[in-house]
Amino acid sequence: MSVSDLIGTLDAIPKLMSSSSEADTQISGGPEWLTQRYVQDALRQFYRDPNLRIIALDGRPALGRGENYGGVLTRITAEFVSGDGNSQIGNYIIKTTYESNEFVRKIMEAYDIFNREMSVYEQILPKLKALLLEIGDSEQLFAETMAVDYDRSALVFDDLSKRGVGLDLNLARLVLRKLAKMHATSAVLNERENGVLESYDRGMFNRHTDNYAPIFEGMVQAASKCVAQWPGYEHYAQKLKDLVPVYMELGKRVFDVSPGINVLAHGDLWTNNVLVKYNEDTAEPEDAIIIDFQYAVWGSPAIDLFYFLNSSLQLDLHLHHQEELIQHYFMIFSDTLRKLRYKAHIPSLHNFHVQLKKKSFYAMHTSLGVFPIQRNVETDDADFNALIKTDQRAINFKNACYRNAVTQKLMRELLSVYDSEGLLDADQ
Amino acid sequence: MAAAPEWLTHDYIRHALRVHYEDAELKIVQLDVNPALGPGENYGGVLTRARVRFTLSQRPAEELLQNLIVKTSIDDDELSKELMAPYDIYNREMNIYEQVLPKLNELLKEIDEFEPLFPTAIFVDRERMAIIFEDLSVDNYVMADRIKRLNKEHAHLILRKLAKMHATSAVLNERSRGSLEGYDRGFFNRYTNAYSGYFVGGLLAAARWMSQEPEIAHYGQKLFELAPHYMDIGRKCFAPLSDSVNVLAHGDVWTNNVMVKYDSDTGRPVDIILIDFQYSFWGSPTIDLHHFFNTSLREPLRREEQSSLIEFYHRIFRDILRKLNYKANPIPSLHQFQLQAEQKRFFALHSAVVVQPVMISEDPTDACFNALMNDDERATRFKNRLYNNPIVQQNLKALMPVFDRKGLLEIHQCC
Repeated sequence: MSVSDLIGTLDAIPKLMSSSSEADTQISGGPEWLTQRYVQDALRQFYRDPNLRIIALDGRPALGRGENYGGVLTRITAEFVSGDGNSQIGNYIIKTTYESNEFVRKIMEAYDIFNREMSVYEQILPKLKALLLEIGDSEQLFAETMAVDYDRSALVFDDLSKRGVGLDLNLARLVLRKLAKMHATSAVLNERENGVLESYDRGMFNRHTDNYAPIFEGMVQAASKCVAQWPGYEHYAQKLKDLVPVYMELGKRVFDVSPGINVLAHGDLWTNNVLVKYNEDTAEPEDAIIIDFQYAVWGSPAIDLFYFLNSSLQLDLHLHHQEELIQHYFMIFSDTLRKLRYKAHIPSLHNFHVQLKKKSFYAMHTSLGVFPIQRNVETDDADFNALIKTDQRAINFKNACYRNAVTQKLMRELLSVYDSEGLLDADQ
Repeated sequence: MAAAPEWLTHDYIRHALRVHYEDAELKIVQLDVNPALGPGENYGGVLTRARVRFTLSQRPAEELLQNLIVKTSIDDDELSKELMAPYDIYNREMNIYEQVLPKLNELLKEIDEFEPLFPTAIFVDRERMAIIFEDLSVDNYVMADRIKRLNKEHAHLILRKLAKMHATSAVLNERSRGSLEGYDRGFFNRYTNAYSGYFVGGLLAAARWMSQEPEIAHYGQKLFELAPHYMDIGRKCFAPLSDSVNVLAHGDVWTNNVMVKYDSDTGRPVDIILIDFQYSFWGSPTIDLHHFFNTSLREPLRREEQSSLIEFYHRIFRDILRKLNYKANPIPSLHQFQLQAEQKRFFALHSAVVVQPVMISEDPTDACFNALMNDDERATRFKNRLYNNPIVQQNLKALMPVFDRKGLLEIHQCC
């Protein structure tokens, strides 16, 4: 499989009006405006060859439904002839930042995810890599370019999008090692370059927009409805319902920059955004990289730690072993900071736990509101509209998320835990 | 048993009762005086029981019965006395019984939440450092078994009383412009390290035992390294948190510092009274909770249900503060209170590793205050034996990994 190129920033390419010809047939699996003519125009721009002509074209979705709500990835194989008569075959991933839907586009615009992702890849990640090299660490933390990120088959990495499984201890520790180094280098970079990362302030909850509120509030509503049917759990159902009016504010407080150590958080760290390389002979995991920086945000490491630990682990680890995984992360995090001569205060492990605990709402949010989406198996209607809207289809989708047996088991275990910690209280 | 003090005479008791009942003609008909406790049951004082039949001057024919407990200071060797002096435990307890606790009662009455939290002090003698209490054992209040420890029912009763004491003390401090903030001589304080013989000695004994057990030897090593910093960390733990609700903490909540009343039919606990305020200090209420949980709860209650016990406590604590219109600091939400418990979690380590082995020791040999506080050979042997206890060993094997991953075994954990 040859290395793919990325055709991105499709906003810059004007959308064609359709006319009836073969060249205007929609490519299967892609958005409606993704036609042969469109791809040809894109390739002409990309190769700066106005005479390029497509001979054959095949397209298929790159990811399944429910595997990526952040955009549509379409895999294209194109056979074309360039202006000087040479013919070639190229493989491409086309990423649209959102579905071709004005409604959806307007909602996601406020989160600016595509621009952010580009700037992270182009400006930030190379500098983090350089910082690690400074201390003689050549470990790979993320994909080198966005293109490689999207075409997962270009690397011999598998993504971990197996539903309902969750990472075991070794994989969890591997991911956390990468995360720790990424966080540490970002803290150092920010320090050395005078707060350069602090403008990343549009995470999933932020002080600029509430556009995702229907997703989060909708999920809590659905959770409440589900739990209300369980005998003995009525009191939890009521508490969840009472959380809805304050939910967005509580989420924003997690993302508010607080005293203590802050980092460039990935913002969406779950199994689908981790690629793992398995040893060909032993089938043991050998390496992992982190991808998809659309939601990168400056803030507490809790944003990534609570999100990852409450979305991506096997049940037993999720319920009983988070603290020691945090300890594992912290040893590498603080060690890397020290090696890089980070000047500001590095907290003790105990104080780090205390600092994280202030953001515990996010652990509850992830377990009860995010995990069910990620583990959902009824994927026919699993798209962004189903998340963001409040129509019957969207309500049905959310209810389906809570029908999942794995999700229900998790909730039965965790509701009382979160309640005792005061995380279900509206006035927490 | 320690003998009753020689000054505890017929005349003395008559005088005390005459003062309490404001009756100069009060007469004693009969008096029985007996020692109350055995070794290892209370390191904080000598308890003597006095059973008195008496008459008041207005009703000379009516014989009244009063059961008293007299608490006096331990007649220690000079070395121990000198060690203990900076803690000023006898004065403190007298001050608290005379000046503080009655006011807490008044506050509870103000909001119709009164119930007895502590025994009534009949007479306080500052010269002889003695307090005479109503003997609760007469109302069938007894001490629970410190080895068997306490279940959830006991815990709920204790937590309710503690919550009321804590909340009212916060309000009293607010209304009296900080009058309780001078209580700054708890077990860890900035005036003295005299308890280090017990605390650091115990820590090292624990470390020595752990070093012999392969699975936990590395924790033992961490404890050895922690030892020189231990008293400083404890001090920081005891410091009140700013912008938080601080209270007059009891300072030594454990099985033998509560008196329990049991229902004679069902055998279940129906009431609990807090006693022994020698180590009370101004600070975080969560310190009392960590000490209580880690010295006095049965397993698996201690290992598994602390979070919900804190929730139980917090509901009452917050309720009383609100009813009394407490304004000095924001009243913590449950989440904020759990956060505070996490901040003070070092005291859970201390209570489990250093204190509990003493509290649940069944070995009476050398079990006296001297062996606890000193670090001579006899004292070292006594402490080593504490960690031969299979219950202690089982508890610590389960708990050390928890403390370690919370970062509580680290030298610089306070930074």
